[in-house]
Amino acid sequence: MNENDISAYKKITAPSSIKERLISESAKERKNHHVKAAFCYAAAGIAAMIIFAFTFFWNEGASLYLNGDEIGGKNVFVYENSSVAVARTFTASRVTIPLKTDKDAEITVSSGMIVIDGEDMGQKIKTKKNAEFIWMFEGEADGYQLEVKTDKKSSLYSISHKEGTEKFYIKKVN
Amino acid sequence: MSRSSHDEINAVYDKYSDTMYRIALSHLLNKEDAEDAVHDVFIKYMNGSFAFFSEEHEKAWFIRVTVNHCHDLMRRRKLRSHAPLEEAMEVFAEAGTSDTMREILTLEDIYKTPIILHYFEGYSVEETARMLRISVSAVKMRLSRGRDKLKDKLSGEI
Repeated sequence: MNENDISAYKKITAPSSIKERLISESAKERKNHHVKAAFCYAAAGIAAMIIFAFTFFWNEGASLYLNGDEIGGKNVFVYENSSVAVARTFTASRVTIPLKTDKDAEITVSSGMIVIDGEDMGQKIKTKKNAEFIWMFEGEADGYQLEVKTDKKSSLYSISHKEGTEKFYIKKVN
Repeated sequence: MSRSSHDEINAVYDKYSDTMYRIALSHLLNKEDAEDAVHDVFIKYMNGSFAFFSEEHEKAWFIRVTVNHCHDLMRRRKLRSHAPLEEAMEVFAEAGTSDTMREILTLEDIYKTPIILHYFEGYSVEETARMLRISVSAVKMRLSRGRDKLKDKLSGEI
């Protein structure tokens, strides 16, 4: 390619009006947030103490939820040849599992990808508390794993596939 | 919004907005649409409940989401009308690009996107492949076919 074209192309910059819009929208959002926050401080303080005590004495890891139910050591049915399109790269043979964690956590999957808001985020992502994400993969899936890691604890979940069917299950393995 | 501090927005905006705007303008061929696309992607980032592991990961996300968002907007716009090339060309011509740029802008996106990312934004073939979630060989093939198409249009100028 012509070097002059490349350097001319790079002279094009984003108009400052975009930044102004974003700053103004975030300022409005913060103002709303502050008003709401003022009413919630007392309740939040008490809740934080309870949560702190709870997590400190009992469970320091993040739990994983499927359709609002916590996934434990028993197999939970996750999929039956659904045709819901959740990502741009969707194909009919893909397995899609909508999940959520209850704490800030690092999520890693052994196969497939993590999708948030329709965007492929790769195989490793940091999520915020209560963030919803989708684990999407292809193939037989037996033994595919998902790790949920917090500062304190790591939990592993595993997929199994019922032979001859389109049925998939997930359970916590440690 | 999950990320709303001025410092955070400023820092990320300064890092990626120009690249995003150029990519959006190259695809949408319209200043207002390109501005909206950049704005929408930043809003998506600000509302996002996720974090990145590295600057590389963050950069790839911004570029991939911008390209995807442009494709979404184009799909919607096709229902209405095609954007005229002239408006985008005004911006490119003001910056000093030659007629080659006009021909690049008329390429199909499958060729235009890797050409813009690799030759104009300066990303390696491997980085381009990661951003577009396609294989390295697919990027090389698209660059090669894109160059061939440009050669045809420009009678062997490049």
